[in-house]
Order: sequence, then structure tokens, then C-alpha cells
Amino acid sequence: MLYKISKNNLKDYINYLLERYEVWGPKKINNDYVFSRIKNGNEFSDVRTLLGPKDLIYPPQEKLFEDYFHEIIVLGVKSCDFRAFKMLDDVLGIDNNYSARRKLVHMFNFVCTEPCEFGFCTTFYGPRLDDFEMQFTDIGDYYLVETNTKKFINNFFEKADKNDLNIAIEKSKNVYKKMQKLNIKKLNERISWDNPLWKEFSQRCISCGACNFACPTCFCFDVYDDSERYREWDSCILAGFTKLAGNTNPRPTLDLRLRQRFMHKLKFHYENFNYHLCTGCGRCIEVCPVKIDIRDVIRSVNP
Amino acid sequence: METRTVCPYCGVGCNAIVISDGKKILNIIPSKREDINYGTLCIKGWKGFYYASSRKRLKRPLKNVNGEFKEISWEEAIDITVKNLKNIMEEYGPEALAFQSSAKCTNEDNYLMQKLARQVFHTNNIDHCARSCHASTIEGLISTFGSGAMTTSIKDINNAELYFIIGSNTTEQHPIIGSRIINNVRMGKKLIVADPRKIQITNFSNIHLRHLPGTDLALLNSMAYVILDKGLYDKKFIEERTENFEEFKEVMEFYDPDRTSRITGVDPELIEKAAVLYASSKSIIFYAMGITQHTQGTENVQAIANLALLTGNVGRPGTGVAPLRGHNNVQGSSDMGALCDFLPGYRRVYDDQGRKLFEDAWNCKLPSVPGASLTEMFELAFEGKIRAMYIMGENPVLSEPESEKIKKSLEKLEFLVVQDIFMTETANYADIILPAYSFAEKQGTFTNTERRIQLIRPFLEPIGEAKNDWEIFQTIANKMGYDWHYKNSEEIMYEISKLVPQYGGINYECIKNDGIQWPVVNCNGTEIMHREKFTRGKGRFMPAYWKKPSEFSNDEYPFILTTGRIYYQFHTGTMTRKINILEREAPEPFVEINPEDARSLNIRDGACIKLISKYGELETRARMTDIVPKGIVFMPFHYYESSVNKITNPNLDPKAKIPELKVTAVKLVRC
Amino acid sequence: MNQMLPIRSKIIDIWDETEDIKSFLIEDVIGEKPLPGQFYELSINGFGEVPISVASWNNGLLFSIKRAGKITEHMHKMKKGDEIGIRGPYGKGFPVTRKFKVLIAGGIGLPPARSVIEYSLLIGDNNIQLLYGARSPRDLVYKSLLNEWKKKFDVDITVDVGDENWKGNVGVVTTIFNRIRDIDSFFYIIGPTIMMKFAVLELKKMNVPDENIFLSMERRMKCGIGICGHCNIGRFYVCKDGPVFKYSSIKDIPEIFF
Repeated sequence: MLYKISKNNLKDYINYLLERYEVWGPKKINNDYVFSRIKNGNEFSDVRTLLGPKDLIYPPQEKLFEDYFHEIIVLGVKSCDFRAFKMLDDVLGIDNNYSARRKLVHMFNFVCTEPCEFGFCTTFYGPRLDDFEMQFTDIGDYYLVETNTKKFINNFFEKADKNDLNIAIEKSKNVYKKMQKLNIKKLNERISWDNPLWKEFSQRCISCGACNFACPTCFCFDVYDDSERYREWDSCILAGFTKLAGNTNPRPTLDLRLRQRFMHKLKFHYENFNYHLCTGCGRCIEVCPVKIDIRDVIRSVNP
Repeated sequence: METRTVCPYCGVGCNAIVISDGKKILNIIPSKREDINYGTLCIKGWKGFYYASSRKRLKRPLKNVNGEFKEISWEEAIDITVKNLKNIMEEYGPEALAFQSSAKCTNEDNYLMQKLARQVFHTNNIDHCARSCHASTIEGLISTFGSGAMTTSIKDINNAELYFIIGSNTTEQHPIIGSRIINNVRMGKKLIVADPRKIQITNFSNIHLRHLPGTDLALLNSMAYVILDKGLYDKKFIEERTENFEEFKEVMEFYDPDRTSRITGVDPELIEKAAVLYASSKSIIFYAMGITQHTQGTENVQAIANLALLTGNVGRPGTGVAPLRGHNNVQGSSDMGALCDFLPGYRRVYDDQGRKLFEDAWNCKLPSVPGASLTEMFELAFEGKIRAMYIMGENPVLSEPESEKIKKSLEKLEFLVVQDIFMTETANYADIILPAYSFAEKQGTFTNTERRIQLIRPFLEPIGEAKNDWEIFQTIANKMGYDWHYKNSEEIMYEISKLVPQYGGINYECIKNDGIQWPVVNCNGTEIMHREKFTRGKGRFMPAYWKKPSEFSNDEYPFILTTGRIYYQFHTGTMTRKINILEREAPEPFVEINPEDARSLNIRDGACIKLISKYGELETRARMTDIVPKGIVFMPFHYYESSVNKITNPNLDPKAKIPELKVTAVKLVRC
Repeated sequence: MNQMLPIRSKIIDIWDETEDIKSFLIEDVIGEKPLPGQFYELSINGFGEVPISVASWNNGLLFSIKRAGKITEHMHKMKKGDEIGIRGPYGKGFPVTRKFKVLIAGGIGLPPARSVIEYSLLIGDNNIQLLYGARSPRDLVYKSLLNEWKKKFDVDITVDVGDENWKGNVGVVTTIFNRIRDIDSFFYIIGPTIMMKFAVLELKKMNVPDENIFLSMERRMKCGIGICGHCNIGRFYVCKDGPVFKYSSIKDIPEIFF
């Protein structure tokens, strides 16, 4: 179903949602944009934030056996993040907390019409989704809204037509025009254990783990007890990730761990699920203090 | 809710936005601001804030009753504290009291603690860990430039052509600054690293000078020799902006690299290359504990300043001298005068004019003789001359040399009050423990290494009955009859802005967005210092002759132990050891030993090894690595299980009173 | 159902096997008979969980645990009747087959080998040979059982370092490979990684096909159900696709041995 809502009405629509749900979305804090709780339609910004809303369904740290989850709406999700959740579903779907939150979190994605600085999503799926809850695209004075449910539609929305849809598709094609598409043909077969980039990256990597934490598809977690049992986001580039009692370590050096990160994403996960564990959002590059770039890995395999 | 705050760990002062619900942290997001951390954080930023909501936080005041700590009310705790401090002061004089402030607390906290010591308790016996880290920077740079802080800004790093890092393991200690340097070097800038260890950043250095610990002055003087010899010095700059050049030239004549290579162990050709490179580029010198923690720490810093003056590499964009301050607010706590010989704003306590400013503002007479420095405090306590101590947010039992003596000193005290957020090894000796706010619960300001005063905001509700540090001081002052009535930290900053010229006129309004770098005039900050003139007018060359460190490897103690930090833990581990991932990455103490040395001593990797110095002995695990050269071993000081400061060198730099922690003679044996 | 939630059980009995290995008999509150080579996650509140291979399941689940880290150190201090959490059984175990099976076990690898032996004997299959290597005679586990087993099938034992009373073979377990009865067997190798590496090398020298070699891999594990990522090797998760792997499936992965 196709609807449209004027940009002027968006604030009021958000206030309408706020009467019925807890709403989260991108907010401007000084010069930064973060996903946080919105209390008023004015607070929403249609921007790409540094970190996606992964924490809203899969928090950075949580008590494992807590069972209070509640319904929220997240506005302004980017397609790269939305798709990432579909990938996370394949792994964390059997997890109690993740699947509970997944059912209760509604995501309204906003389609990018301009490429972001480090993103390369057109290599994978691009800025438009074919499976969504409410997909918003900026088509000028209006947002086109594609949806399969009337649940969130109210009288602020008008019906839209094929022309509006075409404008939306054209606008998203702008991203394809400006963004370099990388060659991922047979990437999983061609990427090699001996790629010289692993050693090169390890020279400057400072082991901050930001690539894993910012990545919308990374799912690894560590479990620990502190009178109760907790889990927290983990990073496969850290030595303790694989260190065994007795101090032996299958990946004792940083280059082997960086290798694990890239090969897991681009080869091992592909072998299990037939897709690369990456949506081309570019966040890992953006948060890396020394700008280690996954696109360099892909280019080194398929120049 | 979303709260902008500043990381509580190192001096880079990365900005982060914390998403929280008041009771716990929900997410941490780095700020994208280009001029500091450009959307990045090190692992302590990502994972390290959670200590604030640890179960182990101190929630109620505690009283030591026969070795056990019992919870008591705030009223009782303050009563006991005031009574004891007052009685000891009245019976033995104010010099029997000592105060230790915290480089982790805000400027407002520090300002009030030194005001408490000086106005309320009439003593200059207030000091803090800056004494053990950059006290030599303060002395060294004040004597050469007039001001003891980083002369340039973090973002100015992008404008330099060459980086000279000496005595700083930048990627581990100031990771985001280290990363910025690496990014620039990868784009073509040049890097010289002088460090006995093969630290990560040497992967990118054009020249790595691997000199012996304690020979920095000889090394730096040799570089000056080469620059003078080859005529690569900036004649115009020297003439217009400096003084004492002639004496400097005379002293440098002794430091021909061919001769000094016998001292430093560095190939004279390398020194020549490094010197030429430094002199012919827009260069910034970065340094840290490897330079400062020596009996010649002050002279080392002066030698660095001399190089900058010699080549005009200060006061212009892309140049400067950058002491990398360790703690999140050690620059601020020093600015606030939590030092035994400085009032806020770096006026000496014996400077009558400077002291009068405070005497007028605080309406009281202030002591004019410098008090006991940090190390001296424990000496005097050991001798029974200091009888009471008030320690806030510090853990000297682990962080200061001669820790066994420090324990005995604390035991000897008649009264010890410790104000902190967790039980620490030091708090175990306290009579009274006062629970305080962590950075997560308070509003206030931190000043980072580039002199940027930044606002921190609370994102967690207070824990238990913990109180804000400055509020506790206010209660004590009130009980002592002083009418302090600050309603909030902003009012304290208002007072600071009137009395500390570098913070002149600032208020939370003008710093609330991006912070502001001092010196400040009417809310205008200073990115690069010493542009037209130095703080002291002309830059002064302060040449010095190299002397041997207070001890060196010898027949009985054939190895040199140098200490330092690692990336995953921070200082005494009070905060980082409460975090699962950080503790997992670095769970236990170790000593780095060169594989050849290990083999000759028959020590296997991971085996128990005993280190013995003149001052004590300890056991720990050996870690074989060629990061350390032969003859040198390295141990971090984060672990109470093997506290390296049991055996480290307590000899002090006579001016700065900083211990020579970087050079201790040791012998190694298998356990 | 929360897959990470352990089920409350208790320790029926504890006894020493060697200086640093204790056996724990735990009440089987789950009731699902494990297959040989599978493991359970044992949980201690406030300390954490450890993945341990099950050794036997007669009147309870038997685990023989070496004191190696913080959690196992705490477990060694526990007593009969203490509460313990348990979840499982997890993983893919050793193939159940009547084909001749040579079990090559090193040190703490004997408990999982025992699960294969007991399962086989239960179904009347004694096509087994056990090659067992330990550090020293004092480190031999299940000493009385070994004697029982000797009556039913070939058991060859070696120690790295002997003592005054030891009359058997001295040397690493590969030194008794000459005693292997039938080279056309399945080889189940369980033990420290370094031992597995040399065992495989030796078997390859003897031209044993890759498909006949099975390894019980060891990795840091947390969830036990393939979602935390710690035990990932290549496309496999040791907890879910292993811990037992056919050598042919994993031999091209450079990091299987370390």
C-alpha cells in the first residue's frame, strides 16, 4: 500500500504515535546524532546516526534472565540497519531476550537518497527494502510511505500513487549513481587465509573493538557473572575472545584475529547462510580510529 | 535520556554521548567532533563506563571498628572527621595534616579541596598524583615557556609535518591521539620515536631511537648539538623570541653524538638523522612519563623545550611541545592548585602578590611556605610528623613508590579519612570512609591535555547515600565555621573564573557545547599558545648537564626495571578491574623480559619470576617478548597482587619532587 | 524457554581422581540421554559456566573436571549435596558405529573417551582399542576402570614421565601407535590440542584416510548453542557442529591446531 505524508505533518504524526507508544529516533545532541528516546515530534531528525539502533533489540549489556520487554517504535532506521536485523534473526532468533524484543520493536525505515561518507550498501542491497514495516522516502514536500499494514496509518496520510513511487525509486537511485559498487563475486571463495592485509591492519589496529560494537550485524557476546548472569557485546579481535584456561590461544596475535573478523563476515557466515554478514553500512570504517577499511579487503580479493 | 559527557580515563578527553535511563547505561556513542575523537573511542571508552553502576560502589559512610568497617550515618562520619582533623590541627599545628586530592575528580572538587586545606585547615600540605607524573612538566615548562601545559591542540596535530614521540607509549596510553598520529604518518608525515621498548607506534616510525632508560637528557642534548653544528637552528626566532641562547650553546658543546652514544646506546648516525629531520620540519614533540619520572625529570622537560625554542617549533600552527597528561583531569587538578607549592592558576604560595589575591577573596591569611609534596607526605607520616590525612580518589598504596613504607605510614597515622567510590587498597587503612559520586553522577568540568575545559553531565542517579565530593568539603567547612554556600558546581566555577586567570571569565554557558581551551579571555579560548610572546615573555633556554640516574644496573642488580601502563587497565585498576572484558584481556600482572635474557636465566614464558631491588622484592609471571631490549624489564603497576611499586626507586627530582620510577636496578631469579 | 537458563540440579557425589582432577556425579534433571562426545554447560551462580564433556550417565551424569581456571577452582571446593546448574546435552558427538574404533585419549581426554566406551559396551560392541597417555602415573584417571576394560578389549597406556613403580611405556601417546590393531578403523582423538596435532600427523603417516579420523575440538565456549561466536572455526561452531569433527571437514582450516 502506498501513502504519503507531508513533511509538515510529520511532527504531529510523531506526537500522535507518542500518545500510544514509546518512540525512539535520531536526535541531535550538539553536533552529534544518536538514537534516543523521543518525547516530542520536534526532537526527531531525519538523519543517519553514527550508531544504528542495534542496542534497542540487543543491548550492549543486559541481565540474561530479566524478562521485562516492552513495545517501542523506532523511527528513522536506515535500511542497512533494518536488513542487519534480518541477518541477526538467523543467529539470535533462538535467543529468548532477542526474539522477545524483536517482536516488540517496530522499525520505520527511512530510505537514503544521498550516499553517506563510508557506506557501500549498493554493493549488497542498497537503500531500499522490499520487506519493511513502514518505509519512508523523502520525495520533496512529502514522504512516500510504503507499508503492508494499516496499523500505524492515520488521517495525516493521503493515498499515494505510482508516480510518487517512481519518484521515490528515482531518488534512491541517486545513491547508486554516486556510490561505488564493489565486486563481491565469489568473494567467499576467493578471500584467502594468507591475505597480506591481515598483517598490515594489525600494525595499526589499537584493539578498541569499535568495528564490532558499531556493526549492525555483529552478534558475538560474552557471558559473565556478577552475582547475576550478564551478557555483553564482545569483539572477536580481542585476545581474550578465544583464550583458553591454561593461557593457550588459537588466535594469539592480532593479525589472526583481524583475519577472523573479515573471514567470518565475508566467507564463513556466507557458507552457512548464503549471504555475507555485512550490509555495507560503513560504520566499522567510520568508528575505527585508524580507518581500517573492509572495502580494502573486498578490493584486494576482487580488484 | 541522552547525556553528553567526557570519558573519565585518560587525558585525551574523548567526548561521548551516554544513553541511559538514570539507573543504568543503555548505550555509549562517541562524538563525531573532528577536533578530539572524530567518532571514535578506545576500548575503555566503549566498555569502561559501566563501573559506575557496579554493585561494589560505596553506598554509605563507613567507620573502622577494630579492623571491620561498619556503616554509620553521614552526621556521625562528618562529626568524627571534623573532630579529629580539628583536634590534631589544634594540638600539633596545621602541618600535622595532609590532604591528597584527585586527578579523576572535577575542577570544582579540586578547587574546593585545596581551599579546604588552605583556608579552613591553614596548611599547604595538599598535593596529588600529578606530583608523580607531570610535576617535572610544570617546573620544566614554566621555567622555559612560562606555562606548564601542552602548547598546541589535538587537532593541530594534522598541521604538523613531523612528530617526535619520546617516553610515551601513545597507542596504549592516549590511543586516540596515537591513532591520529598514525593516520597522519600514513598520509606522508614523518615520525621519530625515542623509547627503549619496541612499542606499537614504532611500526610507523621513520626513526626509532632505542636509548637506555635515564639517558634522555643526553639524547636530547645530542640532537641539539647536531642542530647547532649544522646551523639548522631558527636564528630569527631565537633572536626575537628567546633568551639565554649563549649559555645553552656552551653546554650543548659537550654532547657530540659520537660521545653520547656511549651513554645512550644509540647509533650517532640515527641521532643525526633524527635531529636534522626534526629541525627541518614543522614538528611537535609528544612526551610522557618516560621523560618526567626521573631525578632529572625537570631537566628532561627543559631539554625538550630547548629543542622547540632552538628550531622555532613552538607558537606556530603544526608545532609545539605536548606533554600528554595521564588522567582525565590531571591538567585541571594542577590548574586548580591542588599542589603543595602552587595556588590555583600556578601562583607560587610564596609569591606575596599572588597569595594576596586569594587572601582577599577568601578573607583569611594563607600559609606562604610550600607544603609537603606527595612523597614527602608519606615520609613525614612515617616519622610521625604528619598525623592525619584526608585522601580523595587516590590509591597511593599501589601508585606510589616504596609501597611497603606507605602502608606503614598510613598505619601510623592517628586519623585517616578516605573519600572514594570503591574500597581500594588505601581505603583499607582508613578510619572513616566517605562514599562519593563518580563522574556519572556529577556535573562539573574536566580539563584535558590540550587545556580544554569541558563540561561533564550526570547520567546516573546517585548511588545509595553517596555525596558529591565538593558537597562533602562544604559540609566539613561549614562545621569548621566557614560559611561556604555554593549551591552547585557552577557557582564554584564562577569563583574559579575570578581567581584563576587562565580560566578568566568562563562559565558553563560558554563551555557547554564544545568546551574551551585556556587561557580564556571573555569566553574566547586559545588553541595555540605562545603565538606572539611566551607566557613569561621570552622563551628561556634552560640547558643542563646529564647526570647518571639515581641508580643504574650494576653487578648486584644487573637489570633495569622500568614501569608503565597497559592499554586495558587504568592506573591502580579501581575502575577497569570491575569491567568483565577489560579484566579478561589483562587479568594478571606480568613482567616483560627479553627472550635472550629469559633463556640465560633459565626462565620459561609464563614461569614465576622474582624481582629484587634495593627496596624490596616481588613475584610475578614472566612474559617473554622482544618489545623490551636485553637488560631491561618492564612491569605495569595496575595489579595489587604484584604491586611493582613495592620495589621501585623512590629517589626524587629535587625541583619537582617526582620519583625516578622509570629506572630501578633489579636482579631476577626463578621463584 | 530461555536457552541460556540452567536447570537446577545437585551434586550427588564428588571424589578425587588425581591431584587436579575430580569427578562429579550430578543428578540428571534433564532426562535426555546424551550421546558419546556430547557436553553439558555446568553453572555456578556468581562464578559462571563451564562446558564439560559427559563421561558416563549411569544413575546420574558423570563429569571429570580438571582444575584449570577460576570456575573449576571453585568447583573443586564444592561438596556432596551442593546445588549446581546444568543445561544440555549439546553438540555432535562421536559416530556410533560397530566399526573398529581406536580411541586415542590424552590426559583429560579420557572422560569423553569413556562415554564412547560405555555406550559401545552397553550395546554389546567391544570393537574398541584404547590408547591412553597421561603426564605421569599419578595423573592416570579411572585407574580401576582401566583394569576392567583391559579384560574386554585392548588397552595400551603410556606416560610422559614414569616413576619408580611404573613398568609400562614411557613416552607421548604417539609412541604406542605401533600397537594399533587394525589400521582400517575409525580413530577418535581427544585430548590437548598439541597432542591431537601430533596424533593426526602420525596417523597420516600411516595413511589413515581423513574421513576415518575424528577429533574432539576444544575452544572457549560461553553459550553452548552457537550464538555467542567464541567457538567459531571456519564455518563451524565447535559447540553446535562439534565438538567432534571429521578431520576431512576441518583439515583446510589453518587454525585447527595451535
